Amino acid sequence: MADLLTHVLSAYVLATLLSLRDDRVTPAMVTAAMVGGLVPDLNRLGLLVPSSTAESILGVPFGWDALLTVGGVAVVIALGTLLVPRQLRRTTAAMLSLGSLSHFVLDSLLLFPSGYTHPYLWPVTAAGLPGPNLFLSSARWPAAVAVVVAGSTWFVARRHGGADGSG
Amino acid sequence: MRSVRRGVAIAACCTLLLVLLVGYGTLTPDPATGRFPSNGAVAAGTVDTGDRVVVAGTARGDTTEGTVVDLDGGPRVVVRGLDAAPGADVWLYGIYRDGSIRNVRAIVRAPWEITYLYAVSLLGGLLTLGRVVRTWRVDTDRWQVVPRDRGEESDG
Repeated sequence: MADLLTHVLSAYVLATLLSLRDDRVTPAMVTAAMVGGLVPDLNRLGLLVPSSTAESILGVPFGWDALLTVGGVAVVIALGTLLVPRQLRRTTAAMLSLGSLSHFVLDSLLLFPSGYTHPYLWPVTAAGLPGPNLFLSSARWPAAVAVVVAGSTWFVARRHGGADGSG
Repeated sequence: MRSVRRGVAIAACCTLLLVLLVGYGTLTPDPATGRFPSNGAVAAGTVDTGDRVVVAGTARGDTTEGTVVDLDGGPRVVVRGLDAAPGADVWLYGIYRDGSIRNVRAIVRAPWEITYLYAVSLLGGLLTLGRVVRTWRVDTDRWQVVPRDRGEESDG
C-alpha cells in the first residue's frame, strides 16, 4: 500500500475533476470515491485481529489480504452499493470503483523486494505481477504531491462549480 | 419485497466475502508465480535449503556470521549480506540455507519511516471519515445510507 492519504486524495482529485463534467458527481459521490480509495487497505484489519488469530477462532484458513485483491474489493463495493438508495446505486458503484481502481494502479507501482507485486488480481489469478518497483509505501513525496494536486483541484472546482472541493 | 431482496443480496455478499477470506487463506507459496514463502513458513520450518523467501522483521545487530533479524511473529534468523542498523525495519528477498538467509534484495527503513506511514494513513482515514459524516447520513427508517440534502451539507 502507498500511504492512505495519497490514496484518498488521488480518488478525490479524479472524482472532483469528473464533477466538472457530470452533475451526478455530487460532493457525496466524491466522498464515495474516497471511500473506494481506502477499501483495498481494509486488509489492515489484520493489524487488529491477525489472520492467524482469525484462523484459530474460525478453525479454517483465513487471509485478510483477500481484501487487497480485485475479488475482495468487488464484493465490498457490492455491499456498499446495496446500502444506498436504488437510484444512486449505479453512480455510487462507479465512484467506489474509481477510487479502488486508482488505489490498485498506485499500489502496482510500489517497490517489492522480490520484484513481484501482491497478487492483486486474485481470484482471477493468484500470481504476483512483475512491477515497475518505482517507490516505497513509506516514501514522503507521494503524499506531498497528492496534497498539492488535491489543493489545486479544490481551487479549480471552487472556480468552475464542481463538487464542493472540501476534501 | 424489495427490502427482502436487498437483505438477501447483503447476506449473499457477506457469505461470498467470507468465502474469499477463507479461500485466500488456503493459498500456498508458489515461487513460479511470484509468491514466496514468508515469515510463517520460516517459523514452521517448512522451507528447505535453496528456497527463495520474502521475510520481514527488525534488525538486532551484527555478528560474525551476518545480521541478526527478529522476524515479525517468528523466529530470530541470521541474514548474510545485509546492511541494517539495529532497530531498522527490514523487508527482504533472499535464499534460505540451513537456518540463515542470504540477502538478495532488501528494503531497510528507519522506525520513524514506518511511524510516518501509519500516521499519514491515519490522517487519510480521518479525512475520509469526516467527509462521510458531512456528506452522508443514515436513514434509520429504511436502513440506508443517503446523501445529505444540499442544504444540510456544510461546505467547509
